[in-house]
Amino acid sequence: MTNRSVTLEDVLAWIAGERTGDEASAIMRAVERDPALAAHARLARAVGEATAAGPLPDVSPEVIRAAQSIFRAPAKPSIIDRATAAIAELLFDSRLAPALVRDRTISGYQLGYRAGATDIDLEIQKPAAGSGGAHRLVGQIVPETQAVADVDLIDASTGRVVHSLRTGSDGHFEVQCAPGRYRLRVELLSTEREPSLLEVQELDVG
Amino acid sequence: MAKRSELPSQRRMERPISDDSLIRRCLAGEASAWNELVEKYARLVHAIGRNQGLPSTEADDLVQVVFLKLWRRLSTIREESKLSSWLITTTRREAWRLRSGARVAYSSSLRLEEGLESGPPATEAVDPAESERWERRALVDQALRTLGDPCASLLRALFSDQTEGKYDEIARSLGMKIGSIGPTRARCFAKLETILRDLGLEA
Repeated sequence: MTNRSVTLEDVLAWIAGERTGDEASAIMRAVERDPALAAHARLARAVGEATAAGPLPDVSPEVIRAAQSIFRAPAKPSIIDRATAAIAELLFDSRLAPALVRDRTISGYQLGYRAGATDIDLEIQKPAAGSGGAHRLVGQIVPETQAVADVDLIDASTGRVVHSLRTGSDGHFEVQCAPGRYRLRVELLSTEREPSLLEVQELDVG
Repeated sequence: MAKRSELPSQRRMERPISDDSLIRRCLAGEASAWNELVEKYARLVHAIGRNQGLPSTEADDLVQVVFLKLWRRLSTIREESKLSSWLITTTRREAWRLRSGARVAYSSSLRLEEGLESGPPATEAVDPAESERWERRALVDQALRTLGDPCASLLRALFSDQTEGKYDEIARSLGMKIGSIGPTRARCFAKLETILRDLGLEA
């Protein structure tokens, strides 16, 4: 060892505990002297630690496909001017999602919409006993930091506003409603961004 | 002259694509970039979930929740932080929710910042050293997959097996001569170093 230079092969063998005695001491001294060898040694130790736990196990193709299906291309801006509501695009419908994506803890379904930089998350809960058949519509405007909004629930067949309310400061709102088709109009009150008027055009409850 | 077996130096390797580039392409609407991100990190998310004590089916759910959050956060992650760190922290937090029996309503999981409001207690907070270990493990795993076999199998075997007589076993299982294992390991490791540096892991 003293008659030749220390190589990467020597360093790896040393890290792996395959060199002992004088040979190991010579390699150690060379590593201490030579920054390039020291870098090899540090990386080899890091790789050794990382591989000790084995490779990360594979995930089933079904799970991969479900995660890949989350992607939707960004919506093109549909707002024409401030007087026109931006149409919120449906991004997620738990009724159409693979079983493993669904939340098994709720009785109902979830819908996710987006318009511009704003998301509208809705959860439609089936009628509870004694509720007279009314569904519960729980909503959340995101991001919460600019989410205070006036929300109108509009009967799609008559165009009549059946509920009008203001969200909490965190963008949360809840209403009870009969089964049917609705539109949801949302006016953001605390945002400087466009659009400030959003609309979910097709909302099926029930 | 005896025919040489396939050497790692003769294999053509693809340069890994950076997370920044993948995120940029996702934001431009390229579904293939998103597919690559999922392929790249789903194993890590799942493994952390399993490591946190989740059964396999719940770890499957965890993958969906974490990638949904990622999709919703892509633009801000690009500006704020390294993707792998964000994924590890978010995965630990969501795994904690599932493990502790917290209700993970889908609508709640859609909320972008709720993890900050009601995350794990201090004792369950993400340890930076552990986060770093996961990050390194994911990088090395990815680098070895990029490197491919026989190099990857050889390096895994040599680094993980500290027993005497490992050379005999490795030579037998990989069909190599014992005398060529040391030099081949060095050539393979040099290639791995290049990939790891491309991926951002510095010695």
